[in-house]
Amino acid sequence: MEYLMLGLNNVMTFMNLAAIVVGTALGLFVGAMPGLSATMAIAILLPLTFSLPTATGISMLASLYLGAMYGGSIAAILIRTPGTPAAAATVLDGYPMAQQGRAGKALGVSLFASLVGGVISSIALLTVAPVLGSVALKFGPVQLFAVAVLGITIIGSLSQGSTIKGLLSGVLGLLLALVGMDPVTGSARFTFGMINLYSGISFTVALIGLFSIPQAIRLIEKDQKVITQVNKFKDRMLPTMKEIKQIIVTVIRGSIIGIFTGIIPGTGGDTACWFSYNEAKRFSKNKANFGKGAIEGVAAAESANNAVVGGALIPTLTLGIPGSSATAVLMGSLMVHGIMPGPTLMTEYADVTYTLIWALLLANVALFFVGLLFTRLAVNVVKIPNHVLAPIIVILCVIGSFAINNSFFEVYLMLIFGLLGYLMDKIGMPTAPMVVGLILGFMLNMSLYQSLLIGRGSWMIFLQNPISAILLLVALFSVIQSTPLFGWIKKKIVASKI
Amino acid sequence: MTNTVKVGIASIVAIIFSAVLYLETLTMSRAAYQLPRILIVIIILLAMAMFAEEYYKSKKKKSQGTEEAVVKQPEDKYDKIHYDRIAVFVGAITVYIFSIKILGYFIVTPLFIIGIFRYLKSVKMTTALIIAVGFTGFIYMLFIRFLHLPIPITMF
Repeated sequence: MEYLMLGLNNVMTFMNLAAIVVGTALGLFVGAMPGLSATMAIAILLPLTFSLPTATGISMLASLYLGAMYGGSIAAILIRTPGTPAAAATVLDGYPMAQQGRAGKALGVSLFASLVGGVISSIALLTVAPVLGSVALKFGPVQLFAVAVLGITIIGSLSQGSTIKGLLSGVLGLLLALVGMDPVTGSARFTFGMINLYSGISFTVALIGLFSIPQAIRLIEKDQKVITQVNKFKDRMLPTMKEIKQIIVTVIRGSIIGIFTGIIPGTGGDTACWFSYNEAKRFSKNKANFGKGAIEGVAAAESANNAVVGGALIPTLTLGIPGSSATAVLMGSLMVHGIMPGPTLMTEYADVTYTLIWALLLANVALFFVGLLFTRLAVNVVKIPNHVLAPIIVILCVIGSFAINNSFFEVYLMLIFGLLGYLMDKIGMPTAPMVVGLILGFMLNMSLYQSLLIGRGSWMIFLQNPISAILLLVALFSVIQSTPLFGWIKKKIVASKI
Repeated sequence: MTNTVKVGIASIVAIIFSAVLYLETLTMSRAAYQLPRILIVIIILLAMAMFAEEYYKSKKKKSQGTEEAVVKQPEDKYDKIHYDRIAVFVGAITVYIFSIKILGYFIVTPLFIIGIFRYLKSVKMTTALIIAVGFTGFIYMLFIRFLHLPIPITMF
């Protein structure tokens, strides 16, 4: 309770409130640009927070994340192209609504659903996180090792596409996290004589490169479609009481779906919006209206993708396992400010953590008003050609990575990670697990060393402890369930029952 | 290039990378090499599994009559990937990064923006000039004046 009030007190400063408003507005505009994801927006704007106080910087980035989630719906509704992957399901009913001359209504419903989804998930975060955090605080090195293994296997196995590629990306990230001076023995690892590598690979550099440069290349690799037709909106944005009554159940259901989807590492707004949309359609009495401009369709998708934000922060803040690639970047911003992710976030750094949670709650309210004020203006951003954005992104990456250490080494490293990210994308290997690996690498290394010390060199220590044994079992199951072996076992069981 | 070939190359690169790192661990103490060696072994196994999975998938596709080797025609002209454009863009980024160190931010940044815009024919020359000068100035004001963060202004 003391920390809760401390966080509230912290967030209520002019600086932090201004950061929240600026963050939501920036997120809204970036999210509205087709092809730019919320993760990239946070990664690219992360250097801007270097000189800000930790609480202010992190509040701004969290607000930006939230703003980008709503911003994605603007392009989805007006030009049938989702601004972010999380707004993909919004297209289905949002665009037909715009064609019927109800673009303002669609955007208003999206804004209202985003507000409710965001507030419910922030409340969930505010209530669940301290409880989970107090449990996680009892974890020793043995359990922390198991948490790190679970984090990497879950995000690897739940990544879209191949589990093997997801896991490989995650393990590569873990290995890259070991570059530099070993904190235990003090010896240099994989530095190849380069003095710049002794302090390790900067996490921020890696994520700027991995999330932004591939995006910039993708923007220019194809011919750009000239956006000639943007649906105009002249109608009222705010939904009426009748419309609110019509969508409220869908919005609450979508919010709950969003929270739970967010909690599971590796799944994000893109999964939640489809899940929520399908459930809304399943429960609807007017299923035939879906896909033809049903406001419930827009409400379901938008409430879920904004609720993901709070949900994804639950494992991030309590266990140090990012729930999504965007929260991984948010975690990176904490690391930039010298705060190590993990169970101690809720106690040792409680002031910053609770400020972040309150900032997220307030950012939803700010987003509602910023949305009402700036959505009409953001329509112009939708028309910016992709080819114009690409060099702008590159410059922000270069200047941002230089600003980290006032050194060109970081810029070179950023470019290497950028090209690596693009090549990984080309073979269908996700980059998010690599980022999570880079975060969890330090925790894995330290906890392994300490655990083996406790167990006098015996690996059985991880199976003797019930919590770590269960976590490792879940990790093993998460890997096996996504392999063909699981399908084969399932088939055998079904066959034996028949 | 088929997906199987691409994944095959990626697997070989991952294995070579792991082998190089393994050799590096030979000079480390036991406590320092324990975790890296475990991860290296896992990477080698996963790299081989990745190739096997892709090979199995392509075999399955072939047996179903949808040969991967047949290059699909893009559905419309907007689906075509311009590899030459990617090469030029990546080359321009590299040149930008290396020349900014010598010539400085104020000279290289507008040139990079104008150069890319003209190459991609994305905007008219006057628009390119306005964006280049405006954005260069905006970043300077934001980083130096407002946030007090360093940018590579000049190395002269």
